[in-house]
Amino acid sequence: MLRELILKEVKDLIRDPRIWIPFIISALILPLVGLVVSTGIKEGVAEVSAPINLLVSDLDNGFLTKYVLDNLSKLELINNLTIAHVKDLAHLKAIALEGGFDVILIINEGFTKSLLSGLKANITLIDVVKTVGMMSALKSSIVTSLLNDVVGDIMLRYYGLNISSSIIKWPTNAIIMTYLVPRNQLVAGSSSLLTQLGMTSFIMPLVLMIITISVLQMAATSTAVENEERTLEVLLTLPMSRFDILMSKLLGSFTVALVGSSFNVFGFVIYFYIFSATLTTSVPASTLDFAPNIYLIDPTSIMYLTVSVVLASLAMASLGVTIGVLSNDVRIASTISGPIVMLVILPSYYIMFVDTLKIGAPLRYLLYALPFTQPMMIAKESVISRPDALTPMWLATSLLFSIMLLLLTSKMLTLDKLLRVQRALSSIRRRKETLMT
Amino acid sequence: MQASVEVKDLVKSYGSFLAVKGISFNVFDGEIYGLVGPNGAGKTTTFRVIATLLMPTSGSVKVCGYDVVREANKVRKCISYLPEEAGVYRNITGYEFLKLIAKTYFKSSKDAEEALELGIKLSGLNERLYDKMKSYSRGMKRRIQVARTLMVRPRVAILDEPTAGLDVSYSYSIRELIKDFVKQYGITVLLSSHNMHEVEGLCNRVALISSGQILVEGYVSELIKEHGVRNLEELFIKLVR
Ligand SMILES: Nc1ncnc2c1ncn2[C@@H]1O[C@H](COP(=O)(O)OP(=O)(O)O)[C@@H](O)[C@H]1O
Ligand SMILES: [Mg+2]
Repeated sequence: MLRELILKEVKDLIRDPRIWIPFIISALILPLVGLVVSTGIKEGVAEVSAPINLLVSDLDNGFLTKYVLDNLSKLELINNLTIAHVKDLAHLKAIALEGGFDVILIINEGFTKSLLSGLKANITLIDVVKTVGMMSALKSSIVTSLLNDVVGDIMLRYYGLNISSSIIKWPTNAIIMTYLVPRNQLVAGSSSLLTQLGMTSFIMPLVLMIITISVLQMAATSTAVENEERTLEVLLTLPMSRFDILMSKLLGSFTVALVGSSFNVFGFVIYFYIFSATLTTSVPASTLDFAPNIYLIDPTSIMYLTVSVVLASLAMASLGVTIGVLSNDVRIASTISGPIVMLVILPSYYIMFVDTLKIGAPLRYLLYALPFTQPMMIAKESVISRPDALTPMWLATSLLFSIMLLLLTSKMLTLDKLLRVQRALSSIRRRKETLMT
Repeated sequence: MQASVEVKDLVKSYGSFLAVKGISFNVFDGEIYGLVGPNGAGKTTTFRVIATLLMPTSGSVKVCGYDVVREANKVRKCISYLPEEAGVYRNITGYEFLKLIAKTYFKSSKDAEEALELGIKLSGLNERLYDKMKSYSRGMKRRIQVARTLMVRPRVAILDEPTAGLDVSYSYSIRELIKDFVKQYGITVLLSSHNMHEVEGLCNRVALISSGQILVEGYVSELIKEHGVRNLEELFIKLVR
């Protein structure tokens, strides 16, 4: 009857650990993802909600500005408001750096006059971004809205209801820029830059994930099939070194994976070019001595990134070969590779939210040296600053990682050891089965 | 007579389980030697040790005079091994498979070419050789694996249950293939089987193995005469009782 068949189905599935292990593992991994992501977000939020150090360059010097700034400085969210009357941008940047200011507010000439004639006033805001955190560039928006509140309030009191509500709500025209301290460079836009920074951070793990899963699965499956079909036994008795046997598996699946994922990599490189071109061309005309001159992301960084992604997939392929060797059939291989992919992607989420420039030396170098975190580090740091000066060396380390992994696996490549591992796996299964019944 | 394979007091355990409990036998140059016994007797385990895949727990094994532990690389150069129930690469054609094996064994392209020619002939697959191997029947898969094993003309071919699970005509053709090949090229063949009848006509000498121990060893005809039985099967039943 139907009921009996359903029961058989459930029993059959539930007694196979290859079916339920992935469920348990992903259940365990998701909280871990949450932990990693929330750590990063917490840092970002702490940074944003800290009171703002505001440097104001008052070029208008009118009676309204004094009144506005006075009101602004009394707000809780403003920690320290310092007024200068400096027009030279380089000079302003220097003051901001020295005094640890978060935002530079430039009140342009004619501020008072415009407002008194019932027009919007021009201001310029510069986010001083020292780090690669996710939310650091939000502070200029906070200052803008605080300023709009204060000015709107004054306007309302001055004009009463004789003025359009849009001037009350948005009394200023703000040009927002971002000062990337690590590269001493100004770029146009704040929120747009932010989203694009964010996009890079989101897209990188995605690209890695796509490549990772396909490369690892391919290598693991094709190696596990050799186990399943006993062709591995034939390979192991051929007059060849164990390392060569693994190398042939690695390079074979890697070549196929590379051709397949080259479309991904290519698309990603194009994305990076478009991204950096948008930012350098969308700079508004300004009276300031502001001239963005270079590509946001230089060709060298893009090249590093490309090489790094290729090396990451090589590392994935060797991990796949290792998994395949240890699995006596394809299903066990895919049971193991799912969680491994997750674990390998996990650090990328950490990097995504955390300020990498602030990470201490040993961890930072580890993240640069390991093939799975390296592309993320390069992608993130080449946007806000430059990839680590030692990047060529880190690329070599990544390659070394794959070779070492393969060498290690080739030491393990004796049927004795494989049978022992596989026997261990099936003894777990047997124990679990007796528990289940 | 020169021994191609010398197994002395071989013991092999998996964890605490003793699969092979101290067996000894020699295989002479140019003979077909059969290790015969029921499933689980320890045949595959023994062959894996001889083929350098497993390390002996104790005892020694020499192939072509080389020790399987210390000189595994030299052993691999003189053997060719057919695992029990070896599968095939599904999306590779039989021809491609034979070619790649020929090339891994021989550096010179002339030698590789020769081995390939031989493999093509041994496989007897004709135009089906150019199809992907996933389309092969069980018998055809076995046939190409046997051809692959023999075509490199190893000094010792190790065939684990070459005819198991095949129908009468495929079993017959593989047995004939092995016999003819040994006659023509003078190589040594060590094979296993759980079918007592088939080894009678195929092997010069046999060892009957059960539960990891050799019960009796010798020329087939002499064994039958000595124990006053009609065939090996009767002998085996008599010995395990
Ligand atoms: N990997 C292994 N782990 C544990 N026991 C094994 C393993 N392989 C074989 N055995 C056991 O060793 C014994 C001999 O097996 P095997 O050599 O395959 O016998 P045969 O080839 O004669 O059928 C059997 O009892 C079998 O269950
Ligand atoms: Mg067997």
